[in-house]
Amino acid sequence: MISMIMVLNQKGEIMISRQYRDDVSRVAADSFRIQVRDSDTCFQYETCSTARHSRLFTKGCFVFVVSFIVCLFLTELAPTPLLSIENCSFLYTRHLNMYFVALTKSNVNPALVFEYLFQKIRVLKAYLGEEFDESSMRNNMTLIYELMDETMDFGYPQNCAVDVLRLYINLGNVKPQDEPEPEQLTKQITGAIDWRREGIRYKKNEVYIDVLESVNLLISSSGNILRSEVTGKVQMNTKLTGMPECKFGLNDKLVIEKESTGARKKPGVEIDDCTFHRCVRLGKFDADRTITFIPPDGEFELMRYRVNDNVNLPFRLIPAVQEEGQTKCSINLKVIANFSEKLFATHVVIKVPVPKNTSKSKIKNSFGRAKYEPEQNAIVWRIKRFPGKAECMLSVDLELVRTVRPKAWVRPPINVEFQVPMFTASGVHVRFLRVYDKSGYHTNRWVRYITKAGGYQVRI
Amino acid sequence: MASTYPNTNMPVPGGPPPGTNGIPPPPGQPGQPRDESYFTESRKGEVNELRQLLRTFGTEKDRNRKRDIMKKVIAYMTLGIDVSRLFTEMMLAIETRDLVVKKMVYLFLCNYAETHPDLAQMCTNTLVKDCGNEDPMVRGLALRALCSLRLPQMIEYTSEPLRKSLQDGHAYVRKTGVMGILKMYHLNKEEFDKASFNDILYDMLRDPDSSVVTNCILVLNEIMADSGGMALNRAVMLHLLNRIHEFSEFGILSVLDLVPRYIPANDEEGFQIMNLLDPVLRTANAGAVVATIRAFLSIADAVGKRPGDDRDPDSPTVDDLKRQVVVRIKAPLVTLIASSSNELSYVLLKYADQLIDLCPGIFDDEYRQFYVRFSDPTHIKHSKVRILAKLANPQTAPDIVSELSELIATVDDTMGRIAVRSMASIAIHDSGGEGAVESIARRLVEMLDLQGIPHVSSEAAVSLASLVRRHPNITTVISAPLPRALKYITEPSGKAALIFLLGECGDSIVEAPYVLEKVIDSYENITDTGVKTALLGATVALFFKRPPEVQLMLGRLLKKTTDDVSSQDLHDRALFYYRLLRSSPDPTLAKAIDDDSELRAALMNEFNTLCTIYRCRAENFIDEENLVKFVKMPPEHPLPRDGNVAPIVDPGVNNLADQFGNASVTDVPAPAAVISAPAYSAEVDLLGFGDDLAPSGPPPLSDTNAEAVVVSALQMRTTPTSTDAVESSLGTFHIFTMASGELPTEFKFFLYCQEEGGGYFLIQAVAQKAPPSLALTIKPHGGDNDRNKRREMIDQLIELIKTSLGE
Repeated sequence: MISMIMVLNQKGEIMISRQYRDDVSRVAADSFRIQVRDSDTCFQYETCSTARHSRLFTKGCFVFVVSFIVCLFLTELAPTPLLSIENCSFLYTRHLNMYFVALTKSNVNPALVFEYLFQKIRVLKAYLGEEFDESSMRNNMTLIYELMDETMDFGYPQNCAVDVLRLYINLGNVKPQDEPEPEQLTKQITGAIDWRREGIRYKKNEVYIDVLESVNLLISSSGNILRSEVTGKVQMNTKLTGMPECKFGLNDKLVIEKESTGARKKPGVEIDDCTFHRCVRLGKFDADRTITFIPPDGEFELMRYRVNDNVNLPFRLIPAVQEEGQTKCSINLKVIANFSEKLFATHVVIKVPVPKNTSKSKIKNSFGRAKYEPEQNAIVWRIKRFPGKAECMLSVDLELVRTVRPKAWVRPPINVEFQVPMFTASGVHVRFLRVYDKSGYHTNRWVRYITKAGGYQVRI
Repeated sequence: MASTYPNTNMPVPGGPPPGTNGIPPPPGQPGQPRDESYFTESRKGEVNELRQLLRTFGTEKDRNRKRDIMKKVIAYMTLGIDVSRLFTEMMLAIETRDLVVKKMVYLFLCNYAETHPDLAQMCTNTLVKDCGNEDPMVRGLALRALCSLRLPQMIEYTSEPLRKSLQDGHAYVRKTGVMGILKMYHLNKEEFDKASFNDILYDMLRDPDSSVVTNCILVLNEIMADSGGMALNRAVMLHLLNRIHEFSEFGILSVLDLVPRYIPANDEEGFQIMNLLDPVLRTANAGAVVATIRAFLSIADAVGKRPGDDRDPDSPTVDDLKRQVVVRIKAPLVTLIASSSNELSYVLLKYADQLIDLCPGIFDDEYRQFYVRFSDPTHIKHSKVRILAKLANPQTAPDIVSELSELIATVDDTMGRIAVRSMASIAIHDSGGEGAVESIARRLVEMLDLQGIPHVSSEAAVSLASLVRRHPNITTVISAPLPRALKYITEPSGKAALIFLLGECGDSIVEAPYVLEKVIDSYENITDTGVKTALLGATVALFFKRPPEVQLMLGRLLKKTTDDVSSQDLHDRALFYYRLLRSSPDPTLAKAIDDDSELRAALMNEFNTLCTIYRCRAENFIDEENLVKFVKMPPEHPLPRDGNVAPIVDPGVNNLADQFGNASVTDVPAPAAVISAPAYSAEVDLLGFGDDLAPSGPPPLSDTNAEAVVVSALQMRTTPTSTDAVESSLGTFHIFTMASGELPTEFKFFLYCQEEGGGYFLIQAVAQKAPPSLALTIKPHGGDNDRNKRREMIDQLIELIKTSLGE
């Protein structure tokens, strides 16, 4: 169980803390003193300010937290997301520049704790907006404590579903809904379908489906594909009346093979593995691979999947690097868009690394804008709109400064970022979405596809 | 206990707000509506102003105005201003229908209860009254506030509303009440024992609402921590498993965590449970997935055949089953690692690492998933590289090794080191197939010459040293560049390793003695004891290979080292070698291999906890009072191993209503038989699933008003062969076994049965092995009061037992 949840800001000050158990307060002060002595003076200012502001802490507990802050902010190595200090484990994650920290003294299931923290952040986003920050946290202090108490009792996660919380906590950005009868309310709070409430009504019934994919690619300097993989997710935004039953179908290979009788259809995509939102009936999926569910209201992530085989790589990169002696280096790069000419990619950014001791660069490129950015040690080539099937070239001549101690250039990989709307690298597409409701209303459905670069790298 | 309420470091009155260099923020900053910020500077007398405001509270009509007043009070409280003077006014405000206001008053209460116990006591009545409010939400909130006050003297007030709340019609109140019990337990254990909530909690496991059940499990587990967690038996476990699809994403974990403690009645049941849990692997909650993995592994442990087991030769062994489990969970685990956030990926990588150790080879074909991404944070990169080394087999090794060699030159020093070490570990474990050892050795030798990156060349030397220990035949491959490398490797560990290598490869390196001699001559300049020790060892090793060249320098070195007082170890070692050489014994030294299989087994038992992440046992990082050792359920089962079990219904596949909460408790099929767990009072029949054949659980053992019949030293012809045989033959007479056991000299059985009239018999049977004899103690309980009739029954019983035991 979790003993305490706190939220720290970038300076390591505690903004919010909620103690669920008092076992985190029994601590020797020694660990703190040792930690502080070892660290530098700029930190001591921080502790002082923290100390001043956390008067309400019992002494031992405070000591504890501070030693955590020391570890978090002063260790030069990137700390792991779990730290153990004086037999107390700190599990933390970040949102913008705030740290959400869970403290525990027992042998918990760490995955559970992280899932809780993420859920907590999701809840706060729903209440305070996607990009909630320090000041919005401070302005909604009472709301946050209310949420802290409702999502966790005595260190155990309780009700964390946003839609249900909304029913009875309506401060913040969340618009108060029609207050339901108390009877119905508690049923909702604890009912089995905690992701949707009854009696939702829309004039127009609409469903938006976004298929978002990110391609991970790693190509070795000899041109072999070391790794290519697509991780995708299906996000939905439902505006539907009542408690509709939805049936959703992708061009999953297993389903298509079962359905098609002859060789009339295109082969489906082999989905390696997928996970679902908890509204999906898993038993049914395992039985016949149909995805059926009663959707939550509004935005949610229906499923995630992973595809390893037959990935359509949207871009092909052919680099050539020549180091001529110690003072010259030339890089040529050819980029080919591998998708249909009807489509285009946006926000294409290609970062071509150059040695640190580059002094001058001569860049020739066919389109877009390319520029040497010394702070990134790279030529950054930006193309706003990259049409399908197009080819473009970049050639760079570099002049290098001689260094006293020549150090071999480690040659980091070329990194590519892009977005290709209406294209899926895995080939996945939505075959149907059927909505069944008693009243039999008509539903408008909208589908979008976007493929983004996850880690799209070519070694040189 | 929950109550040190808000701690914030809002700007302290009078002091500058942090981060603004003492300049107060200009009023009405853009994007910050003025009425939203309650944390403006306060002056003296503000509390009085608040009091004035609160006085008008009763007459105020506008709900939002009321809320604003309350928010102001709470805001002051979180600032650390003492507003406890407003206690009485706040108490008056509690009488409201507005939940938001009510919550804020409760918050205020909980915050000041500890410091102002007298005031808090004043408001108890109001809280107790609110516990009877018509609105379930208010009842729940009041109860939570009441239990969170943390005042031991309040226990007498809390226990009554608590008890009432457990029977409340609304699940929200019940669920809060269950948690309240736990708070009470931590507040005052003696009072808690008196209140005897345990049995009620066990009863509430049947609650139709899953969130109540979740809390019951959590609370019972914590209360019973000393006896190894919540008492578990087949009926409870099957009941919970059948409803598992009703639980919320966090609630499901509490049930999944129970499964490893359950011992399936027979193989078939074990597999049924696995099938039932299989869909959970598809949920997006990583915690649930890992908990399922743990449950699967434990079932495999219970169901699989062990060596020496006299079961069906075709049934799979424990190891086979575990492998099958790991094969099944591989894809979901990899998906989660690939798609989760960094924190979760890190945790899951650790679990994957452990599973790879458990079943080597299964993850091999997914090795590309463990390639390092440029954007991964360092700790994930490190974990991945360590795992990569374990995935090497003859097919994958070339790819993995070339991937690792790409990583050695990265900016991150530690990363480079780990990459080198991982590469070496492939060679040391010989997992790369034919020729891999040589090719890796060559790569490592090349790295020795990487002058630009000193940490890599040093690490390569260390790796080569361990490689030579494992594969002495590669010395010819690596010997050439060693003398040269000694000149530019500066790091002590690398230097020590190189010196060691020079000693080992003395045969093939002509100049080895002369290189070492130079080092010996500059002995005074060496600061690191590791290097000194290596030098001593290497020189001795070389001495056995090329005595004429080395003898003199060894003498010099021994002199220097025995005179060296900087390290006790070094000094002793030098003396040891000196004496050893004087008596010239055989110079072979035993090599100890580090074996951590015991630790691994222990960690596997604690899978899905922090243990895996820290890679040490819970005792090492959890305080004693927080250490919970969950125990398995008692191993007796009412069913024979190969008997038929009541099938576990998989809800949800076809029956939608079932899945979504309409299922009531009565829908659950009654299991064939029930025993109650002996871990707590035997009186509670956990679920009341009586069966026609079996009596509805054994009667209370403590009943003493009926006199016991003792029959001793009955002659018998043979002794029973095994407890199982006796139990099954007793079962045919409807006599049931509570417990049985075999001792070196005797068998013991504790039996019970029920007569038609409803009375019970408790029987203790002790069968001596030599000479075969039987002693019986029979205790009647309830039922027919006619003495003669009872005597008759007992005689019949004795006959039956005698037949079963050996005649």
